[in-house]
Amino acid sequence: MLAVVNEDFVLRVPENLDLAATAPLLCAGITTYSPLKHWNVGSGKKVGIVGLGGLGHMAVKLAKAMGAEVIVYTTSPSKVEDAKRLGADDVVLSKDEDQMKRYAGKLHFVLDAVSAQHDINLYLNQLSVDGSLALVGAPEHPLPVAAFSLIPFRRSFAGSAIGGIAETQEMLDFCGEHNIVADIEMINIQQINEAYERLLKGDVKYRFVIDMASLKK
Amino acid sequence: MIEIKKINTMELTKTTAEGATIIKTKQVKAFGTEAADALLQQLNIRRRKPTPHDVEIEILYCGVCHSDLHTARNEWHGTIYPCVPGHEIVGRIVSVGRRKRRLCFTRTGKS
Repeated sequence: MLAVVNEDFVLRVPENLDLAATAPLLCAGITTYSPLKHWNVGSGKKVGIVGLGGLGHMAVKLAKAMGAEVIVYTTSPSKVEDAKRLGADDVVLSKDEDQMKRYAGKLHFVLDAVSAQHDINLYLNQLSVDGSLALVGAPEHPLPVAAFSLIPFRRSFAGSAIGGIAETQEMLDFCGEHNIVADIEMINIQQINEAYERLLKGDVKYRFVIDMASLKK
Repeated sequence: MIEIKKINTMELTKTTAEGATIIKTKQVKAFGTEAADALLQQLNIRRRKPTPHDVEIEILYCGVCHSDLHTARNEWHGTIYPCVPGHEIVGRIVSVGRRKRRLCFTRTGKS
């Protein structure tokens, strides 16, 4: 299948990366890279990643490569092992009140990649002074925010969306240097409807990629 | 304001403040949907023939993002049908427009 694109919107994929596994970088990669850079995630910083899905799993890899201490927040005990395999320094089960106290008021930055309705206040309360939470997931309905999740510690609640072309190229080059690609499950295009149903259940580790050669079948 | 009109099966006109141009198109196979409640299936769509500013890419792989699903099902409203979702695209450059200013991509290896 052909795409025709304006020359200003074409990017170069580093040669050392597996091509199929770089496809998700063009959205999941840049959508997580951009806020991690903007909020200065790096060495000496404790960073929370909420939600281990297509975006969340990329955020863990990128934040780790940037040198941060990475804490993953998930509702699923079944994802704890995977979070550590992806590079997380610690994993907190968000339904466990005691575990949620471990880093409360201690994080420099939180990246929230959850697109279902959830209580954002739990994660705002993980932030330390001048900490920010950037939302990159898109829940369908507004999220209630309590004043006292923001007032103490002078916290910020922000959002972020993809990134510019220059930054996307920077992200691809960063991934080339650090050998970072997405964890993918390859499918034929004929399986796309089934893939959408599995996506709704979060049943993918962690991104479907379509082998477009299957379109010829 | 940009207005695009189909003048026949092969061409579109694109009208902007600067005037009107004719965009030649060609038919290509795609996978998309005609409606919010329809499944994705094979469709024929039109792609513009490359202009001097364009790069033509053979799509080798395309990632599936949840926002594709939201778009295909019109959950964020405003989807134009027929809709061919997909934006995590990697592939091989087939042709480069005459203006080729700064592109020089090579890709060796298995793909």
